[in-house]
Amino acid sequence: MITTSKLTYAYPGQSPIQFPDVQCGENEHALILGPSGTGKTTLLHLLGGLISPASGEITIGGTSVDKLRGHALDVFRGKRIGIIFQKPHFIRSLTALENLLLTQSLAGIEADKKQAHLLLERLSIGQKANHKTHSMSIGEQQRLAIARALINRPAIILADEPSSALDDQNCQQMIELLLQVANEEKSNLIVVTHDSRIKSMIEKKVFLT
Amino acid sequence: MNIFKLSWKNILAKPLNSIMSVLLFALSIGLITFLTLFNHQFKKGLENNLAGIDLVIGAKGSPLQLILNSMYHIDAPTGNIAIGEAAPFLNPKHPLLSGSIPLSLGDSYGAFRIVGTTPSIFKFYGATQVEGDIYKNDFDVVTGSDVAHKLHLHIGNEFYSTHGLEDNPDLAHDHGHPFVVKGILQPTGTVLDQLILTTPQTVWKVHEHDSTATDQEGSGHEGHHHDDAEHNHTSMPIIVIDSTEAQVLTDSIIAALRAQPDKEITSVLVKFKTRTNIQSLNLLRNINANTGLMAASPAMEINRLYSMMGSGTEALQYIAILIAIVAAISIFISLYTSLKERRYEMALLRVGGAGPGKLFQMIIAEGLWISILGLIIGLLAGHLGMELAGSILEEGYKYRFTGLLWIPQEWWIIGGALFVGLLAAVLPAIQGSRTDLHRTLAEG
Repeated sequence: MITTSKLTYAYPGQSPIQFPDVQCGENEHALILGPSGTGKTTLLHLLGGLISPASGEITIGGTSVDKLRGHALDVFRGKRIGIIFQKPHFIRSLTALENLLLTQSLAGIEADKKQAHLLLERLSIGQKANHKTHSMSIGEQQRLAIARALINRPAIILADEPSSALDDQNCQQMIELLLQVANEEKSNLIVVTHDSRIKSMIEKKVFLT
Repeated sequence: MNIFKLSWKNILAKPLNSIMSVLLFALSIGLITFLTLFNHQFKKGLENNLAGIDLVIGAKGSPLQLILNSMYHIDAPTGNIAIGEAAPFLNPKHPLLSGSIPLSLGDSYGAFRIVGTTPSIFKFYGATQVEGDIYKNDFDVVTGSDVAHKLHLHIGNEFYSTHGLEDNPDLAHDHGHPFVVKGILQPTGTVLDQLILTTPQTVWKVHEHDSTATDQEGSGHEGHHHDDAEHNHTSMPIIVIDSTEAQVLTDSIIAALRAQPDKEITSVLVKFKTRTNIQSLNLLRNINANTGLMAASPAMEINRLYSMMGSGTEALQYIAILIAIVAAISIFISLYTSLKERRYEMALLRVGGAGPGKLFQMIIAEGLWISILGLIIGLLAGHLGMELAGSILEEGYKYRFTGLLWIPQEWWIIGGALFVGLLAAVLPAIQGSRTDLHRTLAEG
């Protein structure tokens, strides 16, 4: 469950950007579309609690995220939000499995090795559990990024241009996988993209201009 | 997988950078530890051997040399003095003195000095227990515990002395009267452990080969049993030195010495009855001004020695501190550059729920891991180095240096090292904790 109303964000020394309202009910997913420079990533970061809005409201699973600051916001973000970035980045000094365990521990959830293993298996990268992330292929890294976004059973999964580096086949697989796991976890999936290949796969669309 | 484990993994992920910083740190800590251990034991060695001695009286020359020679047994004598001249200070009834010990030096065995003196030296240095017995006749010897241990001497063993302090077979007096080990002192922690003690008369007799034939009568030494004793090294019971008996022997030796005023000894160790007595304080000046003898105060000379040695170890300490600064800069640079490479990782940690404080802790922990590793290696190396150098130093300083001790100053080394590690990590940690989430992630 996610609703926003009259969100604005102001970069220092610039006039505030106004964002259209986003509303997703249970099992509802959305695409955020728009040309470059219209603030797609900014909206995503607002939804993810990475930055706080100048005005307006964000409610995720009953929590007023716009009111949270500092430590409370960090904790909320760690527990309730899963984010998949354009390029998969991980902690280089850790293995795939350790990256997941760290994600649990940062959110204050007790590290559960069994759950992490199961998740890696489910995303077909179980055999890479003890590999360093930079030794994995791009496709495997994308799957690990999904695993990391999912490990804490978040309320919403945010994906920033997840398919931009992928070919058609991988792109389709990636989005299908995302939709599948989001449905299984009863999370809202919100994807920022300008990738026309995805448009047909998710019904709800928010246009930025 | 918490933030501290992560900081450890981060250190392991960059082994070459980390090893460089750790080694620099260890080098500095090792050097400082070694110097601290050395200084501590050097001072302790000097102080243990003060033994309450207030003056050393000997031939004119360098007062420091006289002290080093007569109290620490690490330098050549300044010369000899006639007993006649020194007689007042050997007088047991001297109004200012509570005790005095004549020393006759000149020979050695296996690089350990043979000292002709009175049995009162045991009490002077706090030696109370001996295996076997104290020496009673000429050519009887009591060895220090280190001497017996190093030279594998046992009660009843015989040996010939060597002229001078070097272990040189060409200088051996191998056709005179042999020395017989009568007793082995229990360890005292003083220079006695490194000495072979006998009567003053023995030292003269070694150098009077002609008279050795007659010595044997008077010495009371029964030369027939030593073979047995050499073959089965049965240890003798350890007895408490009988101070009355030692005093009687001392008195008779002193009386014999004073009866031969033309003979020479090397020096006299003197204790005052009261140190604050004006006459006592003037004694040193009076001897130096009005007699052919020289008096030297151990306390004064040792202070002079400290200040001379001090500047040397101080210079080394500065070098060690310089290395510590370089090590700190190396930690700083390695954290700072890795921070630039890990900007995105910092942002990921923030996304995952870590607050700025957690990032700060993580980078501080990385600095501390390096300093802790350097500290452990450095402390081990410093102690090991001191233990290995101990035997070399022992020969020169006549004091047993060891690396197997822990002294309170080392807590300061630990505290200092952790502080330096912390200091080197603070700036990178502040920088890292300020990672701008949104900008870093938006830039990819």
